[in-house]
Amino acid sequence: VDETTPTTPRFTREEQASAVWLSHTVIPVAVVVISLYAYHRIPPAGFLAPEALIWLVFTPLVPWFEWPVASFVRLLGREDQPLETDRLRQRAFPAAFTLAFVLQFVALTFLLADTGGPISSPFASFVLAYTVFSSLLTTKFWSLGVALLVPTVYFAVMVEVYGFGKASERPSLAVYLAVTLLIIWLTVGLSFLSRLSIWRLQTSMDAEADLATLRAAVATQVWSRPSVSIGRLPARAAAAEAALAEYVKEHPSLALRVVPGRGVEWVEQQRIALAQSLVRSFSARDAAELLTTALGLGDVRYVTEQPAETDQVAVGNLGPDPVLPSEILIRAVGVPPSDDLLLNTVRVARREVAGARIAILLCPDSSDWMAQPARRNAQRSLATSVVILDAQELLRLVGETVPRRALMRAVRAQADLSKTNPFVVVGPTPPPMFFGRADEEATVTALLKDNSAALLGGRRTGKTSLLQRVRRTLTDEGWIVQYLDMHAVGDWAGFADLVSLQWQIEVSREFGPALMAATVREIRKLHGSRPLVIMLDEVDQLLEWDQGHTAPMVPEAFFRSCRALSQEREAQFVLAGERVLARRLWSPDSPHWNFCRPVPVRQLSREASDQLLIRPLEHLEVGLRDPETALARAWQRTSGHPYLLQTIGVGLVDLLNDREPENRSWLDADDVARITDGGDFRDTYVGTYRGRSTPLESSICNLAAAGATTIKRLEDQLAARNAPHDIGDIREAVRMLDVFGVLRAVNDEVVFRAEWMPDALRNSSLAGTLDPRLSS
Amino acid sequence: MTTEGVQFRPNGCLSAEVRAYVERQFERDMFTHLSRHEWVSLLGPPKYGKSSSLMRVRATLMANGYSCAYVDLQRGRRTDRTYDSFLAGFAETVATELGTSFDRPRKRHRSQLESWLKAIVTDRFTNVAILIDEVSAVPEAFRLPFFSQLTALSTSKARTDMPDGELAARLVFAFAGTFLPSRLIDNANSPFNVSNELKSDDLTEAEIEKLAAIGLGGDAHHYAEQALIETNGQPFYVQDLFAAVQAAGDRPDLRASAFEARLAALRRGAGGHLVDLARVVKRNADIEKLVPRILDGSLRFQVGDEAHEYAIIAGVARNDAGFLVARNPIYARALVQFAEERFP
Repeated sequence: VDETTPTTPRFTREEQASAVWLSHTVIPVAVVVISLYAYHRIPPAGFLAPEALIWLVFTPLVPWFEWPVASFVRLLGREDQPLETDRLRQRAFPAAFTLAFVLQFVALTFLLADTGGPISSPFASFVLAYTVFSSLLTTKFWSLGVALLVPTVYFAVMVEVYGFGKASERPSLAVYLAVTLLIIWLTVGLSFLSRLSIWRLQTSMDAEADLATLRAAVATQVWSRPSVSIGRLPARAAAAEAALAEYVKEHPSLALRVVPGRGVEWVEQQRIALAQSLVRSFSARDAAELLTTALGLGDVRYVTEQPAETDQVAVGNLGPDPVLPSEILIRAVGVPPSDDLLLNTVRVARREVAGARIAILLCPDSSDWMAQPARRNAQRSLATSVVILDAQELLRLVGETVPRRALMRAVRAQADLSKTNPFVVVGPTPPPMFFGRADEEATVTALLKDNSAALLGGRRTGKTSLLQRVRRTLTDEGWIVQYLDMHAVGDWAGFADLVSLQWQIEVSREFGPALMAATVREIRKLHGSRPLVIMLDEVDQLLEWDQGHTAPMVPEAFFRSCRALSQEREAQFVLAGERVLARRLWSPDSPHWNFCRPVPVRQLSREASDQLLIRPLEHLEVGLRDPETALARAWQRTSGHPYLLQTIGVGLVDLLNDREPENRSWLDADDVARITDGGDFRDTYVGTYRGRSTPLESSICNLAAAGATTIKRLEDQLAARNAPHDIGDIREAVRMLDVFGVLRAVNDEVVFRAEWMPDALRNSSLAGTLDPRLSS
Repeated sequence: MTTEGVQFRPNGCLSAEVRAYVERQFERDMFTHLSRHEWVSLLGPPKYGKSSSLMRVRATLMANGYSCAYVDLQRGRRTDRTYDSFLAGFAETVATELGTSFDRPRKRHRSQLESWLKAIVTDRFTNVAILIDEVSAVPEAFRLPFFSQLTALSTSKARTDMPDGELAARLVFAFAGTFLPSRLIDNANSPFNVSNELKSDDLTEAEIEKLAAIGLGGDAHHYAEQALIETNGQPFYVQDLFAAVQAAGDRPDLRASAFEARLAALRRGAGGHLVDLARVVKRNADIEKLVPRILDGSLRFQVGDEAHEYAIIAGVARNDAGFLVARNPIYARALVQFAEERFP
């Protein structure tokens, strides 16, 4: 719809060409007829030749020339050869008009010279006529000047050369009358043509005045047909095409494509046609099937509810998603929403899907229900958020290039976001919320080629999540991966029982150094000879037990046997743990010294931190205004600790949940500040980083925050507070704090990794104090 | 004056059918967390409505399609000699609550909580909530394996795409009791570390007003105000006082005197709360040491201080703008007496 602004009235090039062609068809014929009648001879060749040339040049330039050519092409059976006359015509117009303008005066010169000169000739009026015609046909302002100047000069020169002419050469009065009438008729005819442009403009202006109507017609037709052709719209073809193009451009999220010269069509025409038919006549079965197809659900199964024709339930797999559950229930019913229907849908969802946080209810019309804001609060009393889509909304969702995004917008607006909050602060992080750690993953997988690895890190830094990531990668690469969560394993008997339960392998409960090798043999019997990696998560308890063997067994006999298996390339190990594992790795007399290579798991990189906050929000169709400021704030208050970032994320989504649906599409830096400025977040920050630190470690942290930023100063400050410690203990405590990502020593200088820690401790009045456990 | 058919009930667990009850924020939070498939620890003093809340959340979850098992570890407390038999008893209760039977796991796996749960929570149970009340009643010898195995089960939620995470995807736990998580089990193996911690607080002013309006009729506002002043929203006391007013009939003078008489009885220890309070103070020397400073309001609350946190959880004190103070005026009077070694 680029023609919305009014344009000046003017001929199109095609119309100009038509007028020129018409007048230079009529004029030569009339002149020949009149000459034969008046002078009994045809006009001179000097007249006929230029006129013929004009006619020949303009014949291919008129629009209707295409029809005989196309017919000829069809006759030859060569429709596959595209006619490019339009392009050629457009390029030829300027030269053709100039040529015609010049040639008409050349022709007239010969005619006047042959019939009595510019005054006496009955054709003398053609000078006036050409001036008028040119003025009528002109489209450019400057060409009016040419139309004035050229005939003036021409007439003056002709009069000067020929004078009045002889009276005896004048034909009868009827000839003069005939020429004059011809010119009158031609003038009126061309005036009619020139008025046409004004009338056309008027029509165009009417169309522009009705542009809103046109746009509405476009929108209506787009949403009511699988395709919209230009001819169906109430406008000229160009305007209709432009309006359609405009609609497509302004709705980039819709799966529409432009078909040049014809209109637009939906990419998924069958789906759209079905969705459109559902608006007219709702079918539960079709609606459920359509949505499962549009969302690309896998492993779809249908559950029969009664009556089946008006109540259809489908359950399908959405795949990994930070917000939506991997499996989702869709229920389509032929009645409007009600409290009972929602509760019943929740019951069905919880019956069919584990952890069904969201279910979708399709119905013919939900407008009345949605008009009642109180109804939305009903979601909070339901265990599952039921997102209601009526036939119109289903149609819009199906029309999206990515229908899942449309679903997410509905979730954002309707659901109780506290139940669909993608961020996780208790328990492990689900795979779709795992961001970053590419370096650590690469290090571990590279190490395993000929070594074992130990993941070292503080609480909630994501060791288990990283382990799971590596587990999936190695499984995909063809490794045999045996994983064991050792939370509840404190000795060999516990290990053997868990192995029996989880790996289906029978091992004696009485520990012996050879049993680990036997376990590996049993694994190989079950899974074959591919490379084997054994992952032991949370090994600290088992490590403690392993240090306490008595003769005849050697200390750490369990892990010594693991080391032997690793060195013999029978199996590699990935251990994950904290303090005990770190100490064993640092101890030169431990088998771990040259068994596992430590891989620290500290804070996330800045990029991964940003992603951890942004990506889930994007999935929720929530934008971050001024993202640089907001993310910088989050980084400053977390230094990339994944748990703290998740805490901020949970808080942000809770803020959204308290807003009206229309204000749920954005968050900003102030929202981040609202969460991180409070005392609760500060306590969480300190508690998360130092949750399991020893009294000495906590005290070192407090003293460093107050300015004791070298090992020597820390030693002095501890001594000054009646808590003297060996410098070796202080160094090990600093090393442990480095593992936890709190601080690190650089050439005996202590630098905080957790950059906000000094401020947080100062604000908590802990900076410079000793941990009470240490002082007592 | 009294609303017909609504009886205040200060004693016992208030099931979902009891109308003289107001839903509290921690109850809504518990429902939300469990719906999100997150575990919950509900901590609070005895007789503060934890069990009632568990029962009501259980009813709501069941109405929402959950299968629920309520396990009160103090009820029918057994003297299990082995961990296997403790798990067997726990499993039988869960199975009974779920209305199902199960085959006992093979002997070797009977020391694994997961194997018992796998036997009970078969594929036909899609969403199961196990609500464990009085969790501190787990025998001390079995705490480490029991809680560690629960923790391992929780962390397997991250492996829902793996067979070993399948059970956890269908299970959710809530724990309730009067305990400090770190005193039950060390941090690393604590299921409370992977749970949302909620506290059963006193009733708010709005909740007291709402409760009064349910069953007291025209003078509800007056007695709501009085109850708030005298009890600071202690749920048992509020119900108890409202029950006394309700039982006195419609005459205003009788209602007023019933309120005063019952208040006096509560101050003397009726209902057993002051006995519980005395027991907590006597058994915890670190809390007993805090009492004088709680009474004069000079004790600043320290996050992470076990004694401070347990004083709150056990109902001795509350956090008032950063300072620990007596939970309510009745407790404050009692604590003064305890300080003078006059225990109930």
